[in-house]
Amino acid sequence: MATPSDTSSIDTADAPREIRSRKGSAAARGARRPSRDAVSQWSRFALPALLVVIMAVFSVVEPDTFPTLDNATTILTTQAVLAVLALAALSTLVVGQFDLSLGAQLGLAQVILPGVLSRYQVNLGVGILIAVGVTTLIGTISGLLVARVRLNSFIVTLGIATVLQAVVLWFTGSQVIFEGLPESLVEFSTAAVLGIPMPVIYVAVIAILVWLLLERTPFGRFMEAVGGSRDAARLSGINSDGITVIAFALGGMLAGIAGVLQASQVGSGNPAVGPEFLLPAFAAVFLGATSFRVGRFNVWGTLVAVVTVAVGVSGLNLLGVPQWVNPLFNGVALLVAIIATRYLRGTAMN
Amino acid sequence: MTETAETGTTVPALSTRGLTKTFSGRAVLDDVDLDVQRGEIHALLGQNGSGKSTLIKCLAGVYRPDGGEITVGGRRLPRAFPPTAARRFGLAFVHQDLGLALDMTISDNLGVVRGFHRSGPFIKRRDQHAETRRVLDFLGVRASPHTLVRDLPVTARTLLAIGRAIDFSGGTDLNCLVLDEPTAALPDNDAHLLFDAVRQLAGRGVGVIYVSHRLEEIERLADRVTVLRDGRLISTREMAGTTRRDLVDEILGGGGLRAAGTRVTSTVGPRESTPRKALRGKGLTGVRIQDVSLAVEPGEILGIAGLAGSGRSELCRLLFGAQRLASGEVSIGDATLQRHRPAESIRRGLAYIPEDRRGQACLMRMTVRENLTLLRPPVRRGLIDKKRERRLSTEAITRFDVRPHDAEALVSALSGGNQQKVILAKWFAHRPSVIILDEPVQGVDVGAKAQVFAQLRQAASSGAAVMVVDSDFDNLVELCDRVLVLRHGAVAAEMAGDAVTAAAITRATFGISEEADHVALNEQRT
Repeated sequence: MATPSDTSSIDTADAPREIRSRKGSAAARGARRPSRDAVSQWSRFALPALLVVIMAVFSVVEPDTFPTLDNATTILTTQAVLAVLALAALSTLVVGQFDLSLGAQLGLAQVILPGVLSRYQVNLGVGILIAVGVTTLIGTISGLLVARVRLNSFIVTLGIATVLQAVVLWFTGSQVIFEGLPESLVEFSTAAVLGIPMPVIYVAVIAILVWLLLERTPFGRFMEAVGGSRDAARLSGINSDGITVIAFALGGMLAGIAGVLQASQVGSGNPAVGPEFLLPAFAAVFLGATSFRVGRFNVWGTLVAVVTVAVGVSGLNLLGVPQWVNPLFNGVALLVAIIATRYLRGTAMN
Repeated sequence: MTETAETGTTVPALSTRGLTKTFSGRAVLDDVDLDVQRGEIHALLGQNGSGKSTLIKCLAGVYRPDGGEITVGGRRLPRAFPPTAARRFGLAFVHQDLGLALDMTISDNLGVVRGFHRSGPFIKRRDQHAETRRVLDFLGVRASPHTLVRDLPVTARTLLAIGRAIDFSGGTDLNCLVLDEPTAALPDNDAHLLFDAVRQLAGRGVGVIYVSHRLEEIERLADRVTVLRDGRLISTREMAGTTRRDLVDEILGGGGLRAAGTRVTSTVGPRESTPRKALRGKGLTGVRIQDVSLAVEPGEILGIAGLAGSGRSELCRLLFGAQRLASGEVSIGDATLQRHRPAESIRRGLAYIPEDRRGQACLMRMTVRENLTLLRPPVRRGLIDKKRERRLSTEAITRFDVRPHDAEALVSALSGGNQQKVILAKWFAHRPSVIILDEPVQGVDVGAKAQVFAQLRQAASSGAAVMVVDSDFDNLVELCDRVLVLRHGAVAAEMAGDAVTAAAITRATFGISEEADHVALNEQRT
């Protein structure tokens, strides 16, 4: 798996031993449990099962408001931005790198789009291309700095994120952009096909494409190999550097699309929006790695994680719990999931 | 070290009685009674999967035995104890992964494990360094306590890992030291430095358990030897009067080697032949390598010998394009490699299996299937053809006898020998014309080694040019048609046919002979 530890300079020499010894102790305890295989088979579906349980519980507790089509539509629609950003985070995590500027890239795209629409009267398609093009370029630059200049991705993207925040403030003059916007911007996400809101369809299409790329093409396999070990991948004839750059570019592109969705759903560009999406997106990817392909970052796990957390939070809101319960729920869900994976599989998620 | 009459009266350094460990119903360790006397070097032998590692992990507190007891220095250990407690019982371990912090100094590495000399909360640097120097002198390592471990040669690192385990202040509290394949990563000619340190320790009354696959080492070093097979203790005997043949027979349990050999040859058979191409390097110069020219002809197995630091691994990397060539050129067949990169070399039919199996040769956290097909995943309409991929990997697993027969197992879960088989299978699937291997049988058991060698001979006889680096000269003698000896990054000698003997290679690696012992360590440092 692409591990965050790969990006650090910490000596990995005793990491394998550490993992092995933990595995051993888990195996030792395993005597009293069903076999490891059975457990890991089962644990793959723990997260989706949790989602079902949460839905069942809230449906019983809130029979009038929770299990309604309206509520389902709302939850899915409002999570579209986060879902796409989580897929962006996924694409760099797979090659073993962090992109901490994704939130800021989202923020930039969601002011660029309304900005160019209102100032230059371009049509929506062109506006979207510009916004997504800019973030793709930024991703490419981060990727080049990481792969060619051999800088630590954590630090590089932290710097880029900070610079982008400055660019957003400069571009917007610290004002929300909401005047002179064409109706097409909002229609882009309020439209629906067969009653399914467009944002849900966008997410579904993007997710399928990313899934195909990651899990069904040689390129995706190579991305995972680079995430596993840059050296080993290179010695197998894989262009590790090129793949790293493309992963960052892909992350930038997806962050740009997330920004477009955000601008279109809100109908404006807010200079303060963006960074707050970053940590939930990463949390969703890590949470998602506990299901389906356990121990590997994967598309479906990531999406289920986004939805599970959103459903939980939505149910709690309907119950009228205080504000602080929401972040508590998010955090506890992530911690429980990775701890459970650690003990069920006996290996670290990192 | 010759414990004879008095051993009966003294308490053994370590003993186990009826030690048993089962994993999902299978006994991995079955009723093992082992006694290690004080001052004894006790070798532990067995194939991969014979229970050696499990035994050691039980001693280390990593596994909790299902039954039996462990006594160290007369003190019975509790059924379960954390690995951190082992040291308190007077047990110390040097694992294959040495567990040193590469970016810290020697002195700090010692302090972290054995405790720092302190005044209040502060480290007394002078005392700390004085002690470090004592340890280094004892080990025969010439380095300053300030040296980063990263800058030490492998041999010195291994010695340091041993040094960490010993307490020099006052009498020794160490009962038993367990060395798990300490020479696996060591150049053969440095091994005696390690042996000296081990003998000195034994001389201080420490019982040493020495795990190794190299029989000649055990012959040189051990007082007694215990063989494990299928989790059972087969025999414990005095090394004096035991031949290698006896040991191999016991390790394999009758005809095992022959069975392994025939399996390989029969399944591979007279297969498709490889495009015949020679590998040529002309005036190769790069890091650690000075103007080396060589050729490996199709059908030939060329061995590369030399001390660690002589440029053996670097030569492989230069030929493969994994490292920058300052000058010189490499050609495969008629084609001279222009943009010399791994990807191009692979396209031209070159295969390279690096020494660092975990870090560079395979992807530990991916499955056997994914590793096997990594070079060229089977594709149908732009997408990976899962069905064909599964079929190809199952075939490769059967042909190379990878255990367990499970394409979906993570490579990290396999033993070293089986990982090596996966790597061979991965490369051989593309019928490379030229195969470069750096330490292909390092840490691999006798049976798997025979299989790997058989595969290499088979590849050569079907027309591949094979180049093998091995620090175990006996392996080179067994396998190679011709051997080049590297010294200081240049070819020092070449021998072929009957002239290839371990003695000749050894002499050539040192240039002259004697006094080279410490030279070895010094030249690596530069």
